[in-house]
Amino acid sequence: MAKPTNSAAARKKSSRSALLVVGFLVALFAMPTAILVLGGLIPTYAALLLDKEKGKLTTITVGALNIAALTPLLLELWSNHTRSHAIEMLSSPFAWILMLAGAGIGWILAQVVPSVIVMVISARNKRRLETIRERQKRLVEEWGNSVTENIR
Amino acid sequence: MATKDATAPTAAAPAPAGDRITICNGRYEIFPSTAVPQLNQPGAKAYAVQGIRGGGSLIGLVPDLHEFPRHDASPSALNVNSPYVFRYVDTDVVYWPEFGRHRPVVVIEKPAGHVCMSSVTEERPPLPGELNFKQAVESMHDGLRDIYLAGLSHGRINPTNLFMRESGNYALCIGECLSTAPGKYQHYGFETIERMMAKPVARGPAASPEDIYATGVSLLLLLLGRLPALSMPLEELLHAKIEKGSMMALLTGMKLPSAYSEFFRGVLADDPELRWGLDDISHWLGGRRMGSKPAGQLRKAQRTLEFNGQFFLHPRLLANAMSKMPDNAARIIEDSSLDRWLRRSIGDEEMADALQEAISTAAGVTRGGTATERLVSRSCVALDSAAPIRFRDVAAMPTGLGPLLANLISSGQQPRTVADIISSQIISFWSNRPTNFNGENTAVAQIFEGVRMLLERNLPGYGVERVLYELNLHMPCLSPMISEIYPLHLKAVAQGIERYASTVGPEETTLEPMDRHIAAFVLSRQKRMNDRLFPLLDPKSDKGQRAVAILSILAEVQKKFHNEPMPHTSEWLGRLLAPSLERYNNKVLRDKLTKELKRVSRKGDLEALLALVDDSNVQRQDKDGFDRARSEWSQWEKVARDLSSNTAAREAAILNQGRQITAFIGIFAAAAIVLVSVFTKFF
Repeated sequence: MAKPTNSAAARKKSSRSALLVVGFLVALFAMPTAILVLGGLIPTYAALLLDKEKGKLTTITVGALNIAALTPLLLELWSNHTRSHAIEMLSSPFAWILMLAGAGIGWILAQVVPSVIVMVISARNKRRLETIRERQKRLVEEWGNSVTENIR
Repeated sequence: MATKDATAPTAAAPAPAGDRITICNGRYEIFPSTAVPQLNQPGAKAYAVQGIRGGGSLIGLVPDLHEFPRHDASPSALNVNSPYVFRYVDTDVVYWPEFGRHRPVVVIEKPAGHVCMSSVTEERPPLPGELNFKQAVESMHDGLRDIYLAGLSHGRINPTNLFMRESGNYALCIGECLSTAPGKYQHYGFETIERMMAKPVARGPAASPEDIYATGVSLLLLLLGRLPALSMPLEELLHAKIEKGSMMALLTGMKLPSAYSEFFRGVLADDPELRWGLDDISHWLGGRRMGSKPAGQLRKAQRTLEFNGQFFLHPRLLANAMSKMPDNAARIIEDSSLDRWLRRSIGDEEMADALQEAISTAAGVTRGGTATERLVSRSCVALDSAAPIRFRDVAAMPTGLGPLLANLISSGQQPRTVADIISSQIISFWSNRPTNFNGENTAVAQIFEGVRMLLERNLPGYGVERVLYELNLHMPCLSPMISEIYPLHLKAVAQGIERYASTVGPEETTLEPMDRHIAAFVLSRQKRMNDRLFPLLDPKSDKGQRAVAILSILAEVQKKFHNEPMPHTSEWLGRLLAPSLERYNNKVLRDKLTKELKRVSRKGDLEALLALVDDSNVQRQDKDGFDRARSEWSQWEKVARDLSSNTAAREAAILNQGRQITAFIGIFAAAAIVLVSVFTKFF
C-alpha cells in the first residue's frame, strides 16, 4: 500500500516542479503578464486557503471564473505589454471589480449548486423508497408474510 | 345366480319388523317375522323366503352378530349340484329389524326331510342293516365328491347337519356350511385330534381328510344310535383319542359289528396318510376288501418324562401340556432334559434335531411375545408338527388365524396374541417341518410372511386391520362408521360413508370419513391403489394434507366402484379441505379456490373436488409465483435498505458529486467567457 502513495506523492511533486519551471519561464520572458496574473488571481489564492475539501473543487470553480474575468484584462495588456501597464491595470478599481466579480460568482456557484443537487437527489430517493415500500406491501398482501422470510 | 352387487345393502331405508324384505335384486322375499326355528343353524337363524315368481321352498339364514358367512365360498357353492348336498341359492345383505342393522342373508333351498339328530349327545334308533348303512355311506360319498368337485370344503359334518329324506330311505343330505366360520360350531368329537386341539374358531377350513373323518364319526353315531364318548369333556376325549386312537376312543362303551370295522378303521384313521379317501370309500362300497391298513401307533417313550407333576409317554400329550405351562416347559427345554428324553427314551433323533432347530431359530427372532413364549411355541411344533400352533392361551391352525383374528376384533377383544404369532415367524417354522412340508402349507407360510410385513408397518392401511382383511376375504369392513350396513366390497363402503356423512353436521370438524379399518379394507380390496397416500392418513400428519389424501382415496373408490354422486361426503370433505388451501400462497387464488370448493362440493363428484384442490399445474404456478414474489421482495428490500441506511455518507457523496458538477459548470462557463472575450477582441 505504501508504494502507490509514494508514487502519487512523487507525481504531485514533479507536476508542482513543472509548474514552477513554467512560471519561472513566463516570469522571465513575459513579466507584465506574470505580474497581472499573479495579482489578478489573488481571490483564487484566498479560495485555495479557505478550501479544505478533498479535490479542491471550490477552488477550481472560483479559479475558472477568476481566470475568465482576467481574460479581457490580459487581452488589453497584450496590446501594450509593459510592466508599467500591468501595474497600472492592477491599480485600476475597475479591474479589481471585474476580477472579484468573476471569483465571487464562482464562489456563489460553488456554495449553492451542490446544496441544490443534494436536495433534489434526496427528494428523489425518498420518493423511490416510498414506491418500493408500497410494492413490498402489495406483495405481502398478495402472497402473505412468508414472502418476507429467508431474506439474507 | 348371485352377482357381485347382490351383496350390496339393498334396503336403504329400514323396513318395519314383520314386513317382507325384497332381496337378491328383487328375485326373493324374506319374512323377518316368519322364523323357521327347526332349521336354525348354530350361529344363524332361519327365516322363510319365497321367490317373487313362486318356486321351491327356500329359507334364509341370518347369522348372529359377530358371525361372518363364507361369502368367498359362495361361487363354489353355486357349482354344487347334488341331491345329497344342501342347495345354495344366493346371498344378500339387508337391513334386519331384529338387529337394527344390516345383516347378511344366505338363501338356501329348504332341506328335504328331517334332520338326523337335534343333538349329537342324544340317542336315536340305530341304522338298521348293512344295506341301509351302505346307502347312507354312498350318499355321503357322492355328496362329498360333488362338494370337492365344486371347489368347496365343508367343515361341519355331523348328524345335526345331516338330513334324511323319508323314513326307510337312508340316503343322507349334507346340510349347509356357509353361514358361519368352518369348524367354529363343529362338535369336537367330530374333529380330528389335531383340529380338536385348536380353538373352535381357529380350526380353519377343513380339508377333505377332515371332512371324511367327520363323516366317519357321523356314520358311526348313526349306525350305533349313540356314542357316549361324545359326552366326554374335550380334554378327556382328546387324551383318549391320542392314547387309544380315534376309533377305539369313540367306541368307548359301545360295540361295533365286525362288518363295519374295516370301514371305520379306514375313515377314522388318525394318520391323514392312512385315512381313507373318497376313492377308498368308493372301492369299499363296490365290495372290494381294502385290506385294513395298520392303525398308526403314536411313538411311545420307554421311560416317562415328568412335567409339572405328570408323567408323559407321548410327545403329543407332552406338547399339549407344555403349551399350557410355558415357564415350566422352558425349564425342561433349556436344561436339555427334553432333548435327552427324545433321544434316549423315544429314540427319535429327527424330533430331537427339530427341537434343537426350534431353540436356535427362536433365539434368532426378537419380535412376537417373550423369548420364553417363542421358545415353547416352537418346541411344541417340533414335538407335534401336525398340531395347531400354540402360543399363550391360543391354539390355532395356521389357516384358522384369520377367522380367529376376525372373531377377536369383531367382538372387541385385543388381537395381540394373533399379531405376536405372526410376528414371531412361527408359521414359517411350522411349514418347514418335514410332515407339513408341501405346496399348500408353503403357500400358507408365504401369505403369513407377507402379512407380517404389513403388520409391522403401523400406519393407516397397514397393521392388524390390514392383516384382518387380507386373511379374511369374506369380511365386511368393521369401521364403526359403516359396519352397520355390513359393507363387503368397495361400492358398499362408498355407500356406507355417504350414509354416515348425511348424519355429520356442518359444525363437525374433528371427524373424518376415513379410519384405520376403511383404509385397510380399501387397500386390501384394491391393490392398485396408490399406497403412498396412506402414510398421509396418519393422525400426526398435517390436517390439510390428510384431507387431500382421504379425498384422493375416496375419489378413486367412487370412480371405480360407485359411480354415483356422493354429495354428503363431498360437503363433509369440503369442510375438511379448507386447511389444505392454506398451502396455496396466493391470497387471490386461495379466495377463488375457497369459493369454488363450496360450489363443487355440493355436486358430490369427489374427483372434481380433487381436481380443484390438488391441481398440480395450479400448485406449480402458485409456487413459481411465490418464488418470484419472494425474490422480488428480497431485491426491493436490499434497495430500500441501501437507500435508507448511512444517510450522512450518502449526502456527503452527493454533495461531492454536486461540487464536481459545479466545478464542471464553472470551467465550462469560464471557457465560454474566454472564447467570447477573444472573439470580441479580434473580430
